[in-house]
Amino acid sequence: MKEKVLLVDDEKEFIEALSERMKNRGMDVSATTSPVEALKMAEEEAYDVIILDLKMPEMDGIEVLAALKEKNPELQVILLTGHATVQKGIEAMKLGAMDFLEKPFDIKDLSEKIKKAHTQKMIIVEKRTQEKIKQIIQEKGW
Amino acid sequence: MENEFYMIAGKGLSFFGKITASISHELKNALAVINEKAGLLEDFAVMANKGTPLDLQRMESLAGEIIKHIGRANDIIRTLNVFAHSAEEPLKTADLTEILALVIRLCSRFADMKSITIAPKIPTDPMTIQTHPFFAEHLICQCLTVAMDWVGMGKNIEIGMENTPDDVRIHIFPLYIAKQSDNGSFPDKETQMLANAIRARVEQNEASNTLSLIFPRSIPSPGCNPGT
Repeated sequence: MKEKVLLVDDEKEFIEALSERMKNRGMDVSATTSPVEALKMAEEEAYDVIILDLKMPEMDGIEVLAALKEKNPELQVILLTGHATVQKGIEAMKLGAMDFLEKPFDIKDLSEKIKKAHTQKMIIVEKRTQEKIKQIIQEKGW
Repeated sequence: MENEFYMIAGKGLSFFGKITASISHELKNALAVINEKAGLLEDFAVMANKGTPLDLQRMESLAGEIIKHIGRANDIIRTLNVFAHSAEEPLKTADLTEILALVIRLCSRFADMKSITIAPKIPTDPMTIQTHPFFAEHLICQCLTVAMDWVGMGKNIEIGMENTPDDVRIHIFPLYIAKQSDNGSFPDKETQMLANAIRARVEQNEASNTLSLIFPRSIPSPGCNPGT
C-alpha cells in the first residue's frame, strides 16, 4: 500500500524536487507552499504523514502542527528544521510531532521515517477497527 | 555611562547572533534545494542503469537550477561577509546607502516571515557619513523591526533617504504611529542609547506617519565611552 504524504514548505523548488523524488520511490505525494492550504488539505484527505517546515511565513510550523493535532490528534507529523538539536526534538515531540529532520537531509532517512509513520497509522486504524467490532458485539449481545 | 556601554555591547552581540542565525537558516534552505536537485540527478542515473532512457533536456535544466541556487547561497555568504566585516572598524567614513541596502537584505527574511514587502527608494549616488557601521546597522535594523511590528502582517513599508547640509536621513513610512501607544513609546531606552552612541536621532512624525533616523555627517571618535 502506497504511503500517502503531504509536503508543506514555503520553498517551492524544494518541495517540487522532493515530491518528484518521493514519487519515484512509490509514494503518493501532495505538496503545498501555503500552511493555510495545508490545513484545508489535511481535512479533506487522510494522509499517513505530513512533512512540515518549522519556519514559514503566513503561519508558523508550530501553529500549523497545533491546528493539525487539534483536528486529528493521531495524525503523524514530521517537522523539518534548519537546526536540529536534542532540545528542539523534545520540544517538537511535546507539541505532538512524530519526529524531526534537519535540512538538508538524506532522502533515505526521510523515507524510513515515513514508513514508520505509515506503520503507526495502520496500527491505529486496526486498533479502531477492533474497538468498533467489540462495541458492535457488545451492543448486539452476541 | 559604563553600564550603557556594556548594555549596548550586550545588545550588539544579541543583534549579531540574531542576524547570523537568520542567515544560516537562509543558507540551509538554499542547500536543501541543491541537495534535492542533485538527488534527482542521482535518481535519474540509477533509473538509467535500470534501463529508463535519460531525459537530457531535463538533466541540463536541473544542472542550471543547481548552479542558480549555488549563486543564491554565494550571495547569502557574501552578505554575511560584509556584515561580519562591518564590526571590525569602530569609526569610518561609510556610504549610508550601502549600509541601508545591507540592512534591508539582512532583514528580508524577517519581513518575509510577516509577509511584509519592503520598498526601498535608495539613491544611486553615495551619501557618506562618518559612523560606526555596525552600530548604524543595528540602529536601522532595530527601527525597521519595530516598524514591521507596527504595520502588521501582509503590509508594505517604504524607505526613503534624504540629504541635508548637516545630516543624512532615512525615512520609514507609512506607519501607523497611533499603534505605538499600545506598545509604549519609541525610541525606547535601549534604542536611544544605541542612537546616542553614534550621535544619531530617531524621530516620529505623526502627521506623515514616518519614523526618521537622522545620522550626522561626522562624529567624534567613540573611544571607550560612547555617548560622551
